[in-house]
Order: sequence, then structure tokens, then C-alpha cells
Amino acid sequence: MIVRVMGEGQYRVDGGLVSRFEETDQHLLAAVHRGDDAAYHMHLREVLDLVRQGVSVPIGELVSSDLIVPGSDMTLRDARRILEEHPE
Amino acid sequence: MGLMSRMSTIFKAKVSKSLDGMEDPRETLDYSYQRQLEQLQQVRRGVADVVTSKKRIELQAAKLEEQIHQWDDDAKAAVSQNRDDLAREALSRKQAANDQLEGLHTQLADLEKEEAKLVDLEHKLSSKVDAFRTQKEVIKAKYSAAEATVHIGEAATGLSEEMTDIGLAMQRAQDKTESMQARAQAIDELVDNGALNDPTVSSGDSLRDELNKMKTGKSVDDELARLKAESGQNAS
Repeated sequence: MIVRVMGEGQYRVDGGLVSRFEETDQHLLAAVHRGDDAAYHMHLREVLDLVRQGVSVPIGELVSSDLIVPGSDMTLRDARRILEEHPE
Repeated sequence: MGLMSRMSTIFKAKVSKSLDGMEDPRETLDYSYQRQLEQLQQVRRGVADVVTSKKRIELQAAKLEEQIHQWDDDAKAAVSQNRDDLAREALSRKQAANDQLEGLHTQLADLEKEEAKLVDLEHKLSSKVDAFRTQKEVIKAKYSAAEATVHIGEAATGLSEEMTDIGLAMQRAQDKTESMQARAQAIDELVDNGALNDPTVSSGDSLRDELNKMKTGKSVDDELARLKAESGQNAS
């Protein structure tokens, strides 16, 4: 699967990781809702470490991503704001 | 839905909006490429705007620094004239401006990082637009309309996603420069009309205000003592 790290680029990641991502995804959103900065950064780092183990998509290749992950410099406040600006 | 899946949905919505009207990609290949070039230009202008705003804030910060030096000189002059009251006032204004300026510098450093990222993203985007141009020529030469739709669809979506990514990063940087601009201007105006004499802008918590005032008062006292000691040494 293709994963985009915002502000960084895309990676080709082992599709078997989907369930890991899904699990962490819930933790991440919960951390944002709770305003729990430490948990947010911990889970985000976990995801980013996994994604970066994948292969970086070459710059001349144009593919769409299956999953979008916030970049490591996205603060909890930034993430919350993006969610608020784009309600479900 | 989790955070990443929400982000993905937001991206998809933005991408599909930007691809609206591209029904027959083969016929509109050149047109869509033109549109991408225009978007790339907009992105470049946006990045340049962020850089310009940052420079303006840097200038304002430098001006503030000058004023802080001025107050320092004023305080020394007052001490040499035995005007502790004036010296205290000058030092207290100096400190208030200093505190604000420190905050501004922290924000500036943060913005510096955003800027570097934007420049990097802009280079990447530009390479992707180039890649699209090459792909478009290959597709025009090689494929039937139906096949072209599939091939170009993926390329256009990928490119559009890249633009969305840089668009969000740019918006974040712009928001930051705007709030910093507002802060720098506010300090500037306060300094200009001398209203920055209450060193602690109210935090909305009276205990916190009281504590802040105490701390500021203490460091003004310390600095005044230091100046007096210095001028005493100079005199002897």
C-alpha cells in the first residue's frame, strides 16, 4: 500500500501492516480528542517509524495514496484544527 | 474513523474537487497540464509570500531590539543622574518588550522550519509536474482514449494529492505568519505610544498576574542594582 506522510512524501509499505495502522489510528484520534499531547506524539512516532521502513516512492512517480499520515512536526493543535475545518 | 483515515478522507475530497471537469483526460491532457502549471505558479507565489512576511517580522523584531537597547541606555543615563524612578520605569519597559520579543523569536525559529519544508515541497511538486508532462506525451502517443483515462487518472490524482499536501502546509505557514505579524505589530504599537509600561499583560488570572508582577519587579530591582554598581565602579 501507498502511504503519504504529510509534508514529507510517499512510501510503499507492506500491506500486512494495515491492521496495525487501524489500531493505532483509533489511539491517535482518541489522543487528539483528549488533548493528550504525550500519547498523540507517541502513537504518531510509532506509525511514522513503521511507514518509514517502507520504500520511498521515487519523485518521478505519480500515484495516489491509500493512507495519509500527519508529519512528525504536526502538533496536536494543528491536527485538531484540520479536523475542525473539515468536519465529517 | 481514526485520525489518519479522517486525513485520508479530507485529502480525497480535496483531490476530487481539483479533478472536477477532467472527464476525458486524453483530450484535455494539455489543458490539465496547463492548469497544473498555473497551480504550481500559485504555490510558488504562496511560498514567496510566506518568506516575505517572515522577513517583515524579522525587521520588526530588529526594530524592537533597537528600542530595547535605547531603554537600556536611558536607564543607565537615569542612574548616572540619580533618577532611580526613571531608571526603574525604563528597565521595566525594557523587560516587558524583551519578554515579548523572546516569544517572537521562538515563533520565528518555528517558521524558519516551515519555510524550509515548503521550499522542499515546492521542488518536489515541480518535479512531479515534470513527470506528468512526460507521462502525458507517452500516453498521447501510446494509448486509446479508454486506456488513457485509466493511466492519466492515476497520475493526475497523484499529482493533485501532492498539491493538496503543499497547500495545507502553506496554509499552516500563512496562519503562523499572520498571527506573528499581529503580535509584532501589537508590541510595536505599545512600544511606540509607551503603553508597554505594565510589564505583564494580564493573563486573566489575578494570582498569576500578581506573581508575574512580583517576578518582574524583582528582576527590575536586580538590574537597577547592577546598573548602580556599574556606574559606581565607573565613577571610582
